[in-house]
Amino acid sequence: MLKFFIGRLVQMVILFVVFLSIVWLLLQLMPGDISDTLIGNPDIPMSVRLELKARLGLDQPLLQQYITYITNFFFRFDMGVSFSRFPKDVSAVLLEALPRTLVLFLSSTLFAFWLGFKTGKLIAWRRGGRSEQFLIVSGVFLQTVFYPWFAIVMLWLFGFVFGWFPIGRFITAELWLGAPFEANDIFGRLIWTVVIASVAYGIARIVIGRVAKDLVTRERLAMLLGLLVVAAVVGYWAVNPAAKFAWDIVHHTILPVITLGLVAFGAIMLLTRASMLETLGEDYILTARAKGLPDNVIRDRHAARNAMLPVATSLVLALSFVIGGGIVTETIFSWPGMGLLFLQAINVSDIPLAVGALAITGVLALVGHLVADVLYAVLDPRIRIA
Amino acid sequence: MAMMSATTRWLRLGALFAVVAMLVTACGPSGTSPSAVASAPASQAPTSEPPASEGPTGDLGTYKLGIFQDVETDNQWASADTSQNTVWNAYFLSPMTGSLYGTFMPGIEFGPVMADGDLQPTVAEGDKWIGTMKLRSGMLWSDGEPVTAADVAFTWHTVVSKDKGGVELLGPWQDFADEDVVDNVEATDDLTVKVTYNSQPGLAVWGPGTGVPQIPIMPEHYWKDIVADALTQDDPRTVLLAASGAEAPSLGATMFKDRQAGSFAASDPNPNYYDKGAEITSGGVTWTEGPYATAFQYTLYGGQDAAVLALANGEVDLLLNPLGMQRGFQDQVKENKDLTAIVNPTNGFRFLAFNHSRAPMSDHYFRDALTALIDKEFLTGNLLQGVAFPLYVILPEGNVNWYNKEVADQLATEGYAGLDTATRRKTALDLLTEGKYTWETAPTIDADGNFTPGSGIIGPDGKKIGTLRLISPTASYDPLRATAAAYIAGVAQDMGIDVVAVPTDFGKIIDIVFATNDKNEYTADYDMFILGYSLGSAAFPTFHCSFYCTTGDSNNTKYSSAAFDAAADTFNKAQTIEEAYNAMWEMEKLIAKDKPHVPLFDTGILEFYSNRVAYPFTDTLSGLQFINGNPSAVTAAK
Repeated sequence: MLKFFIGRLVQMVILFVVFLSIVWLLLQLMPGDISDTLIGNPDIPMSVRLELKARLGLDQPLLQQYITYITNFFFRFDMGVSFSRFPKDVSAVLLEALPRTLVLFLSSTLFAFWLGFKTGKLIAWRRGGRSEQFLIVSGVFLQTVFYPWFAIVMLWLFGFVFGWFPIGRFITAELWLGAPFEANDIFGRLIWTVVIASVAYGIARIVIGRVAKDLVTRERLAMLLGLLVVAAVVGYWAVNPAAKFAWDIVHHTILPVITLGLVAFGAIMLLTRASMLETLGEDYILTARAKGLPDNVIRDRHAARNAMLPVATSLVLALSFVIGGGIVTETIFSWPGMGLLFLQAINVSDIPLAVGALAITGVLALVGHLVADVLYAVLDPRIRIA
Repeated sequence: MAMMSATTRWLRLGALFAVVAMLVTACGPSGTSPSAVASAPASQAPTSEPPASEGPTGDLGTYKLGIFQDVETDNQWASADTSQNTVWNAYFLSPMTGSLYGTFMPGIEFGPVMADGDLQPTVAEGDKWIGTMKLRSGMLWSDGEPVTAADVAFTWHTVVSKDKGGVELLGPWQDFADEDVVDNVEATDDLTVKVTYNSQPGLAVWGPGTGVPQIPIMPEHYWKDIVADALTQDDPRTVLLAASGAEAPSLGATMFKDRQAGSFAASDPNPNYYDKGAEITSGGVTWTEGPYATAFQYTLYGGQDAAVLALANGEVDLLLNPLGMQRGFQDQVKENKDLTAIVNPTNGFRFLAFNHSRAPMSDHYFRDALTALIDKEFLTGNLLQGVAFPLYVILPEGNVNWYNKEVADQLATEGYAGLDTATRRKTALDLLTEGKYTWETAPTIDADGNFTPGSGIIGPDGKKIGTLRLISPTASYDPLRATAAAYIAGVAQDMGIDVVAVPTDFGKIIDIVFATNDKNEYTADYDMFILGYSLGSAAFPTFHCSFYCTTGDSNNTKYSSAAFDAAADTFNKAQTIEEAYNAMWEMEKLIAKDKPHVPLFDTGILEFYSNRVAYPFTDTLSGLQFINGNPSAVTAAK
């Protein structure tokens, strides 16, 4: 196991160096640089453009620039200075945006996975019903819908017509004006609360699994535990002086999460259904039925667990598309995350910031692949990590 | 089994209820009174709360503006340097600053802003020239400190190069503090600023052009120590630009209140605004300065769809965008009785550029002939469906103070305005024939006016002219310029000139047409291109020389004319507006004749605002965004 992890880690580092080099080179191949943004102003002489280039090191040979960047990145953990937000560090800019994007995409992906897997599992089990037909049509619609249009419709319907959710943005300016908190701090605290609660819940689930052997008892205990964790999280925030600020962030998060989640839901539901149908035809399912096992045990423990393999893979690999998907979602919902940041960086040739944003995607993709491998082994005992 | 399912269902229902109940609790007021915590100021507020002003038509409350990129800094030094010199920062920070002299909109008149009286001519003193400006007395910073001449001198001395003991800022700062021209700036008493010039400055420097009289004044008492500390560091500029300006006092109508990265920026009205309650007249409009809003809020939107929805929903009063709003929203806004759409001319133009260092573009017969073939009325009215209007001179008509309709009309006539297609073809054919061009198959026009296209044009030197590439932005970047390029290529092909429109990535065009060699000279490795320019100062149009002087910073067409250089020199050294005005129109005439650029069209800027607010004027060059949404004079609508 340890050998596996060390081997994978070395692979990941090599891959990351190659990835970063390609990304850096590709972005350098883009025409123009940040000094071109000054061309439109006839009052700014060429000498200023040249001076700016020199100060940012853009007048150096490409190889020199590359060596400097890679050396700083790997040996000083320094991603450089953002050209468009000078003199702010790239890492500081990314650190502001990354949590917002991760929360948006992780929440929507988990929401989509939870709903899609449950629904897909059920419609495969109860095949032939009207609900199946309806859900398949809905799933195909959601999977194939033109996403920017769908997102704008969602914003218009639930933000403008019904007024249930804010029309985009991350926070309500009126509420936060003069607030004694930074939005990012509250957002960070929200994330930590959820992370701690999830870890606690996970540990408790493992303990319950060991203690309670009976499936029904285990389910009930898990349900009770879930309730307790949610109560604890909500209770903590209810008595917190920052409660209304936290709720404001959550309120702004709901619509983009649901929108993004619904689109992913269609794909996950259809994938789960197809995978379940394939699994239900296996001999071991017939054996389980012959043994007289209850339906829900056959469905949830024998069929669904095996059907989950391709779904889990697609879920983890979705991490690689965080920035690509983020550009559209974050633009429409005015969500100041990595996608919007990347787009702005590209528009003004802020190469360090654009490379930094893509480097984060690279890391997420590599970690995602590792997690997928481990998940495979966890979900299917026949697969062993070696 | 059924029993178990029912139990599970009840448990789930109970769980759902509990979650909803707890969420409701979380949203409600808590024992520790979060509202009290929330009202605590995040930044240092003035000692006295500014009274809520009431405009001529009632209380405006918070003036809400929508922006499309984040306000990235609260530091005025950074916002006028290079990287942070964005319109988004300027929308928020510019209303906080002030200068001795400035430009009044909508009339585009130059005059005293914080100065006492008009700008007086400089006087000779030995081999130097001295300009003197006097501040109005009694003006205060938002923190109550007096505004002094020392603040002006401090600002200049901070901006200048390290050799002169400054931080050496870049970008627009260098225009204000050009050390080749300005020798020194000093305060001779609390209210008097003395500027020493190396030679007699023209209006371009000492007047409505960009120079010390218009330098944004920075508070010495706030920045002095920060600048002194920066000067002890290896890279003082970086240190100064990284400093926070959140607590720096203001001069203008607004003062900093809050900024949440990625979400919004907010300012308060400045109780010590230098023009508070002043009656101002410009362009025939008179109004009384406020500010009338009790607060100013700049909310970030990722795209125009959400922003227009927010405008319709009453969440914002005006959307600020230097490019204006997309035409697609115009009908939607027009149908909404709570919103108003306005269109204003922009301070810019889109043009066809010829490479003057390469034949046949270097030949005026060729340039004239191609210009004659371009029917700008047809292009804008038919092909571009009326979203653009034709241009015949560089200076926009919206620049009411400088525009000369008589001369512009005359140049339009000379620029082949209003001709029909047959006349255009005949004119072009005559010009090319006169210029000794021949064809493999000559285009012909018979007695009935029927035109037969030609092919294979041959230059005056007897050599066949090969394919000429006309570079333009792609349709996805700017469909108007892409369409114009295709149209121009088409009319040229009819005349036997093999012009091919090459839609090219915008960044790539910039790379090609602004490429320089080791000596920092433009290489001009292209035939023709279509681009657009915005024009800098409207009060004193200095852009002509930048684009067309032989040594102009933006002269990438290699156009060189001694007559033009002389006219530009006269303009730059002009001591009176009339002198400058005449020189500028002389330059326009030379551009129209020599055609380094052929102005094609412009589109005007489309803006939307809520009828909740009212402005003293909305007809203004480059729209309300050009005056930052006019926060000092916006009022509540009746």
